[in-house]
Amino acid sequence: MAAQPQDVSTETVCFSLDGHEVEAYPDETIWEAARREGVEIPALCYKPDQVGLRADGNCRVCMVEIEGERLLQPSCIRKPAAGMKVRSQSERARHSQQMVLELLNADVPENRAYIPDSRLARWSQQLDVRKPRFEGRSQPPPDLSHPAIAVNLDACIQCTLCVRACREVQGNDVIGYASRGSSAHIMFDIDDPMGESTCVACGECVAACPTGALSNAGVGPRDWE
Amino acid sequence: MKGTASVCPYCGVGCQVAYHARDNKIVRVDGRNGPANESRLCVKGRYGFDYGRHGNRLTRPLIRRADAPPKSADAEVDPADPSRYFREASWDEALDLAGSGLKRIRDEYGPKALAGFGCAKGSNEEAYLFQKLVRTGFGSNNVDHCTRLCHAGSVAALLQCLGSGAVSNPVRDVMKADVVLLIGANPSINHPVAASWIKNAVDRNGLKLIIGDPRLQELSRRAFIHMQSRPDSDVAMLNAMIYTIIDEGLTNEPFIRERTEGFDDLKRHIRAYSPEAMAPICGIPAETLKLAARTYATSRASMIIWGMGSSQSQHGTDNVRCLISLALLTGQVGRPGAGLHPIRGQNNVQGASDQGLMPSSFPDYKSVDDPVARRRFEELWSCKLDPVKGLTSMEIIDAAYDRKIRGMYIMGENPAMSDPNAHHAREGLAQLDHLVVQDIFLTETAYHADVVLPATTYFEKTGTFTNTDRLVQIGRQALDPPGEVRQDLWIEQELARRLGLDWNYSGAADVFAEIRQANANMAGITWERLEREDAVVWPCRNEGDPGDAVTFIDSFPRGRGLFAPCEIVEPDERPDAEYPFVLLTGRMLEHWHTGTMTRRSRVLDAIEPDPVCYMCPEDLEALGVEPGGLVTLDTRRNRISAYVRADSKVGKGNVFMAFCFYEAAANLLTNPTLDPEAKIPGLKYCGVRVTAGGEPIGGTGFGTQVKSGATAVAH
Repeated sequence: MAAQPQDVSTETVCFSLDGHEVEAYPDETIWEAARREGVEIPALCYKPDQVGLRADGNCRVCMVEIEGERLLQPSCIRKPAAGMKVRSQSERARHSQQMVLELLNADVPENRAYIPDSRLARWSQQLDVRKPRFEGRSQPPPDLSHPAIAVNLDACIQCTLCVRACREVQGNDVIGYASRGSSAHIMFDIDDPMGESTCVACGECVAACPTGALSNAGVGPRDWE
Repeated sequence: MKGTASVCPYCGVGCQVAYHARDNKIVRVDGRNGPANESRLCVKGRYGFDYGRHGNRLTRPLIRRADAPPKSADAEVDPADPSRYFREASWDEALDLAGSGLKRIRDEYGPKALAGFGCAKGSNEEAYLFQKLVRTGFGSNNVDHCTRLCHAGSVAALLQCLGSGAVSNPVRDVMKADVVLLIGANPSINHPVAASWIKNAVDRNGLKLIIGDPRLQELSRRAFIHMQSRPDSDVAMLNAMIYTIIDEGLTNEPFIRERTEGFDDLKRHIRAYSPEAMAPICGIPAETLKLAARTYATSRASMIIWGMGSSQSQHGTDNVRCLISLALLTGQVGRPGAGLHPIRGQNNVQGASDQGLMPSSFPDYKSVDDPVARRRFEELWSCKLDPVKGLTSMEIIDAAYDRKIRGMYIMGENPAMSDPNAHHAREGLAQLDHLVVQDIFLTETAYHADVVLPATTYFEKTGTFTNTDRLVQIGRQALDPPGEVRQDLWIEQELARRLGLDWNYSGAADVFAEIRQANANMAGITWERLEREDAVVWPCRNEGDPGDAVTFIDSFPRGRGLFAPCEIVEPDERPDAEYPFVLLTGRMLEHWHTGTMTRRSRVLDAIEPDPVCYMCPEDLEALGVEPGGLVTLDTRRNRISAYVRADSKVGKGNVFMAFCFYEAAANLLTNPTLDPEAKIPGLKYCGVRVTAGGEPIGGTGFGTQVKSGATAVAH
């Protein structure tokens, strides 16, 4: 339900975004304040439109530069402070955003879309990220064991939106994140084929996935362009 | 791709969705940020959208052939090819035959020889016109719908004790509660998005969840207590909790003094129901019963949510009276997070009841024997109305069997699968001189029809639907109906005209305008506002009112809340030497009710294609059957065979089965004994004998998997 007027504090925080003075509500992140101001910062592991999915700050595609800070900061979880000077489109910020996209693109198969509205593809195009210079990873085989949901982890960027959708939103506790480093991967129960797992096919993960690694089975991208 | 903003057609949660269609075919469903679902959906809502394109879809009116085999309860018509029984007809011919057949019976045998079953899946507008057609066209109150099999017990108790049959708080109030008592409900299966809020409340807020149910469930692992009671022992279990609250002085004295009556009667009555005395009856240790009672009574805000396990019982009304007593004793009602929520099954069972699709009441729950209310509706509808309450669902079927009812109009309901002792229901239907069925498929009920009118699916119409939270939401048409299928409102109106009624509704908005006049609680809701806001909660009495999500804040509709003490009544049919197991029935996640829709949905039917029942591993082992093997279930009424799964959630001595499989219809087995007041049958409890092996199961659903490729699906 919509927030009630009495729940919303009106005390705002003034900060500078790309040279413009902007105001943020106390609980707003830099990313949210920017969107309200019409400034789009890339996001992959963060999907604010799907209510209830918290930001995690793990994909690092939303990095921004904050004056006086040595490191770039993920705008999806960083809150602005009064007087802060934030640059989302500076050369350094843009370079970082593009590098993250290029590295992620190296991981996912080229020229194979599981969904037509991949957010990874859209942001790559928008930020003019071309063919990656890096070597790809070894790709896991598809898991088409479930009638409702196709699992193509070759397109997975380990953003963990599906983990949050499954565990924190729907409370089904089926999807997990296993192993470490370059072996890290999404799994169902104890690495079962999805069709044999305890998945109840609510589809919350499919709705959340930014690349189509989890997609509706039996529906090709051309079916709903 | 923007999609059509609508609501999910399945359960009472009322999730808002967007339907994305291409070439008149839904290709994707997204959750929208609605008040009940915040963009969440479940497997049925997200993947069960294609049944309307199944090759079995009715697309032309059908008329029973003159040379069809004689009507019989055992008739099995192939929904894919009913040509031995039915022939296609034009709308004019079918409607003329449907109408003239009903008219002839009315004129020859009187209005009470006719009856109608409306539909809780249809819109408010369809429900309203249906009951108006029966009341003003047939001329009696013989109109009912599946609420009789659903929350009739809840509504009877709530009307008696509080004066209103609807929920006091929305489901999402669990996020504001400290304790939830969940009784006889399995929302992870039947209301998955509602379950997700309960899970969130446990995980995020530390909600203490107390479950009472003979079967463990997905939510049990998050529960503070799961009281795995003996089936049909709710009154014992709840009376023990009431006893504890009074005995330990946990009552809310000011609340009892100012807002209730009958406390002294309850106090006197409850002395015989100590937890120690009740423990052997309900199977829950006395200390557990006490802990549950204390936890519920002493929390800042406690909510009770209950389902079919409570109401769908021979003691349904008593079970709910006990729940109401718990809330009244402790004042756990009328505040955010504190209240009573009978969670509704169908997407519009609340709305269908609100619109008077019941034999006892006009729209807005105005009793038909109340002269003031009757006069009001006589004025609104410009005709005389029957002052006598009509027959309920089961009574109508019995009367058909006895040939007292000779003609019926059934819209969307499937009593041949959903009624207890379903073979008897089929016999009743087969006895009718004239049966008109309006549906999307040739259902098991339609096998016995004289005229079948092809109706629209949910996706093909616009209308309003009221969810379990009393939220009136607008469902918008996403697809064009196939073939010669017509809008249900049009069909109702054409039939009404053939019964001599002068109806000229231009569409759903027009009917809704009349609903506002008939139903004071919805009088403030305008069609324009629904179009703009998608959802408005009733009561909303005046235009511009926000609507009250939480009710009973200062008073109850009847004034003071009434304590109604309940005794333990022996069930009609205890397990015995001959039928030693208890048969519990219900639903499964992927299949909706009698399976008409979901077993024709590619994804849902692929996940659960076969008739299965569930037993605990120990019982299976004793029976010598491997999981997945065949068992035969025998009751005093009938026999079926089904595959059995090992499921440790099922209590020892119990068998669970869903009633969605026509090949093995669980309701052939169930007991038709009724609750004396609500006339709801005890579908969830009867004695059953289980034996290893059985008749191989014929058929595999409706050929959904085989045929739903490009070739056999209607385009």
